Amino acid sequence: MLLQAVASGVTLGLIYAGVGAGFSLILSTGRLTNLAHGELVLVGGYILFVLCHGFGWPWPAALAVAALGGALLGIALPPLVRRLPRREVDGLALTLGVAFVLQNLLLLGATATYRVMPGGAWLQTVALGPVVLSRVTLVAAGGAAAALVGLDLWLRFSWTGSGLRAVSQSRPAAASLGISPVRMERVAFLAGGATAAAAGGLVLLTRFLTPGEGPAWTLVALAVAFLGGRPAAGALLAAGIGLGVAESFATVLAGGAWREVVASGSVLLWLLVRGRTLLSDA
Amino acid sequence: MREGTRFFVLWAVVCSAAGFAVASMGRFGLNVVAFGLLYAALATSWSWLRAAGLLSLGHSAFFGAGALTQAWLVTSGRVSPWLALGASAAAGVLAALPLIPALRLRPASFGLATLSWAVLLKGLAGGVLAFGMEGFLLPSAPGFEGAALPVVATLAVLALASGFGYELFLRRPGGRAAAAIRQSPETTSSLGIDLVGERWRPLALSAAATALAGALYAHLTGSVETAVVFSPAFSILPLVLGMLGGALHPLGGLLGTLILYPVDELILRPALPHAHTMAYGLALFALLVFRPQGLLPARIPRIPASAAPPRAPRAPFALDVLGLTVRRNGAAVLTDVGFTVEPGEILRVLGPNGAGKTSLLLAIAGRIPAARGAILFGREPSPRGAAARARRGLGRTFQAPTPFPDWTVRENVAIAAERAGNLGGVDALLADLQLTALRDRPAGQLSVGEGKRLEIARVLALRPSVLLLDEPLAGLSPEASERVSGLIDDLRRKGTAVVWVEHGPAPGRLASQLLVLEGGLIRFRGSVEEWEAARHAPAS
Repeated sequence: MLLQAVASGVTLGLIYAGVGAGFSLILSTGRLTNLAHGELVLVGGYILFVLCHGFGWPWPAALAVAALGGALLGIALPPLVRRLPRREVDGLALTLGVAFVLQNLLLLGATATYRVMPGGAWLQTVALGPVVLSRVTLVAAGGAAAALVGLDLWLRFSWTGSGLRAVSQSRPAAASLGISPVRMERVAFLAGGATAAAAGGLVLLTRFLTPGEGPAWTLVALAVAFLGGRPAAGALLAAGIGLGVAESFATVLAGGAWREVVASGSVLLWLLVRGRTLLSDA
Repeated sequence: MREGTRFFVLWAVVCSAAGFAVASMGRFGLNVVAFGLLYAALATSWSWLRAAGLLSLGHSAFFGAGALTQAWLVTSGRVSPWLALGASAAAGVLAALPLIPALRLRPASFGLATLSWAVLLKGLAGGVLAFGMEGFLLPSAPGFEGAALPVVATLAVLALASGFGYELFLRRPGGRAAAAIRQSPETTSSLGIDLVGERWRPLALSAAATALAGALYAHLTGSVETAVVFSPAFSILPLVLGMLGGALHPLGGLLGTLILYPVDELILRPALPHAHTMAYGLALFALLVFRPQGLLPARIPRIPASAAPPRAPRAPFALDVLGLTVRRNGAAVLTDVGFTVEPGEILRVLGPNGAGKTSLLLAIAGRIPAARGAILFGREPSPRGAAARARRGLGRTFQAPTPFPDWTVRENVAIAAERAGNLGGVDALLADLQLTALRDRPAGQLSVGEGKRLEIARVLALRPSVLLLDEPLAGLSPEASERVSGLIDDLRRKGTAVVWVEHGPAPGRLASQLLVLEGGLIRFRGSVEEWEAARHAPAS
């Protein structure tokens, strides 16, 4: 049972890392705590559901369209965010408003019914010694890990990636080198939205979706991004897996109600220990 | 419009609208009025936190705590609903206790902490505590069934009292301290105002009022489900309504509710039963983009001309710095620095960029910790923390002016004078620093030079025993420099020990002794004459 809990936690954590990646990118380069991130995850999941279930598309193609949908939603945010007088505080309220609107639109379009991908060969299990996992879980977890590694390589080795990293450290210094912070911000929101929606597609492969779940996914993204510290594959994977394993154990030992307690407790603890204080700029 | 007129007009509109709703829609209208009052109370108590520069994204923690406590006491404990209301308010305060360590965080981080705490508390209440996720079905109690008159009347009193409480808070020293923290935490701390202590009161009051609203909600609906009373809706609705009306105004929550809630309840809910709350999201959206301050302007607490009784200045004392080593980001910025400044002396600290001059001031002020060594005030260990050291008698200026931007020049000086029992000296200080003509101008509109003079006026108003000056003459005209130097010398003659940091090699004519730093190490310590002799001595 212990090994099974660890294995379930690791696969869950890989998907969590994928969910947190886009959030972390927007937080570091766009300087925005995006409280609508969970809704972007859900939008991706619902796009995948409609295309696969309604139109019979193969899931990889539907996943690409879901990522595109997320990118379009992501790129819509910077013009609004740039108008805010105090981005740190007002950004929270603004994205909360976006989350509310998206949640209601999802309720209108998809109703509160739980959506799951139809079963089939995917749900077959694979036994790895004492550990049993479904094939679909392995595919989703592998997909999330691959996406994270791809994101990491892009950030490390591409021209745009180094621009994003430069802007996340110092906007004036980046601007003095000819890197446009506004353009990089747009790229961050676009990539962040695409990553969030793609992660939502992977979430749908493994579990149900309902419009009210957005805040829970935002909390997961917050926990992963805070614990990971920066949008780098290793850090996010470690944070995601740590959170996933902790949740898995909490669920096994104390029941499902503890799932959210782990994520929210992690965020709260992180803020109390590492959060920016009123006098922290000295 | 005057505040009193605004209050009466707004409440007259509320009463008229409520009367019309009940007369035209009967029982349903009474329900709408009851929920409207509930949301107005919630929005107003949420707004209290904004007055202290806090942002809550998790007020459902207090709402849920109040609702569950009320339901549990009335159902399982058979306690009278009136008695249970007191316990529910106390439960709200208890639910706020774990957030005390978060009060030192910036508003956005505090907001995320409240959001996490609300989710955590929901999980704990549902999964661990006796309440369970099923919740309670409240027994019928005379006067407490649905929108019964006592419930509606209590809600009206709560909405009114939370507005009055907010107004009274703004008029008290605590409200002024909260406003100071909201404008500039760094400067507030340098005046000896404890950031966490002053923010705790508005948090506790807001939590208690929100929990009371939760308790009354339990009677309005007749049942309490853990997942419902802790749902994010009870965090987001007060935020939207408070921000719409103007969160920095005691009537903002009421106005926001008066505008948005009837539209939602009477138009949107019937048209879009499953997605009517979209209006709150859209309103927030439009508000932040087009009018972020909300409909009502911010109510800035004014500093009265005579708010505190006069007090004698503190007795002078010596400053000892013994073997001080300070590390920042793992690297030593000061190593084994030591000196003594007796009362009535000026220690001039010189050194190039990166020498450690500002770090030395920050360490003495209690803003950054010492890795090794000790700082003594009057030969005794200095208290911990910047605010505590300021209360003990330490004053400081900042390299870049950091005024309270919403307050006038006079109020910027008066808030410091109020802390020192020196309000009578404000006008003289303004005159000494040629700020009389600017006394009614908001400090956020001052030039750098004017801001520098205001810094000096503010710190002199504190009548410190030890004064730390960080490049006080930078950006000042020769005439203003001369005047400021004279005022600092006056203070020295009254017994203040002064540590004066200036960039550049000139020791200044007022220095009693010199400390020259380079790379965090002492390069020279001694008298001005010794320094001049050392500088002009042959290289051998």
